[in-house]
Amino acid sequence: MTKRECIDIAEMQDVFELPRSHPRRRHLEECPRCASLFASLRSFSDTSDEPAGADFEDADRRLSEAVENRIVRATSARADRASVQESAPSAIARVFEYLQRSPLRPITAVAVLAIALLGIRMIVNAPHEPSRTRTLRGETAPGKQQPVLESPRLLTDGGTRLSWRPVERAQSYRVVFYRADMSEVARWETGPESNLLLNAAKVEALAEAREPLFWGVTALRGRDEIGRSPIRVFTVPGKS
Amino acid sequence: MAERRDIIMEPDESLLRRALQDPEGNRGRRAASVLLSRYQRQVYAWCFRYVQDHERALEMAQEVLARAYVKLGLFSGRSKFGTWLFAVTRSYCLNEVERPRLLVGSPEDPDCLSSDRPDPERVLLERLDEEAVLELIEKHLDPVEQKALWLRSFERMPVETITRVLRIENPSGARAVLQRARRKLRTALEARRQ
Repeated sequence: MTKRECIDIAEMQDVFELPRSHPRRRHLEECPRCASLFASLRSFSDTSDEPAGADFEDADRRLSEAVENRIVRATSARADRASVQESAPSAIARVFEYLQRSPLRPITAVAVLAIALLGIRMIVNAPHEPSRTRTLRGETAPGKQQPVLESPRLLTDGGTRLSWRPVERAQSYRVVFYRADMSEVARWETGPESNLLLNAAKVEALAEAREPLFWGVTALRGRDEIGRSPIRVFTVPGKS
Repeated sequence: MAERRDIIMEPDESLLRRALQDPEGNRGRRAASVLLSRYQRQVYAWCFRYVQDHERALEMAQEVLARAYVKLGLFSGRSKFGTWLFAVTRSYCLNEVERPRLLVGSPEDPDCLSSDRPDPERVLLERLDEEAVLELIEKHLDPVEQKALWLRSFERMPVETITRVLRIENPSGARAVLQRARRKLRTALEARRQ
């Protein structure tokens, strides 16, 4: 077995369970690259090995909150909004409904409209308070727009155009290609335009990875991320 | 509440299946959240080893978990979920920290004294790719030195972590092993040039 046949990280645990005399098991133990990676993997899995100086209590609390906010609450809020829209009449509909039933229709209508206008004015002119909800680095705050990816299009010169729906207030976009383990293969920044042209050479270079690639777009305003698309499989147009 | 309790007891595979079957629904998202929370401590610990700073490690761990969530659908099931998450964490950390030099340690390293000779690392890296370096390491270093040097230079792992990962028990830990390894490698390289 040559060193070029190093063991994929996904298989290491299975290979380790082979008999010691098995060539793949021997390789895992003898090859510095595989042995190092496997030692790292075992260290990652060893929960008793806590580095000195780390604050696990704080990390547990804040990471649980972050995961909960990002995954569960985002859905609940969306589901709640959807169910409110489906089941309850809108505020305006309710006001009209009330006005139609009220015995003092004209007077009530004027009063309600005046109060509503005053309220809107106060809201618009109120000093803007910063939100107390912390947005994680790399996280899109709830309610922010996401770039929506479109299918890559093949150009006549062999290049490919990647495009996405623009995000309001975005000043530039970052396009990143990933392997399945999330390691980055390449990244480009586009400026304000919501598309990226990859010439034939670049597409070929990406295709050389000979493994499925994925791409995603991050919308930026200055250095702040203001939106992030879901990741999609990158398929070179015209090739399956 | 009862559902939350039940879900916490579920094995990784079952949570993952649930998360992938209904990625947009409440149940699917809750399963994903439980699954990722299960590993958050390990991810944080791994990031902390690289940066030795709580806030920075926390930021990195949040980013890793967010990326893992986005890419959950790409997990092929060829390995355990923990192995896949390790690969995601490792890739992220490798991108975040600078690669240490192969042939010299810290500036205080006694082997780093100035010399008129050309920088041996530049000479080495100009001529050899990763595979060739691997061969050289295998030929001239003992197994612990091989792993220590590889972990330091290619996995970008801090010296203290290498000491723990390789369970090196001498008083100066991996530092001494690395110094010895680099010295041997420089000598081998010198001999190769002559």
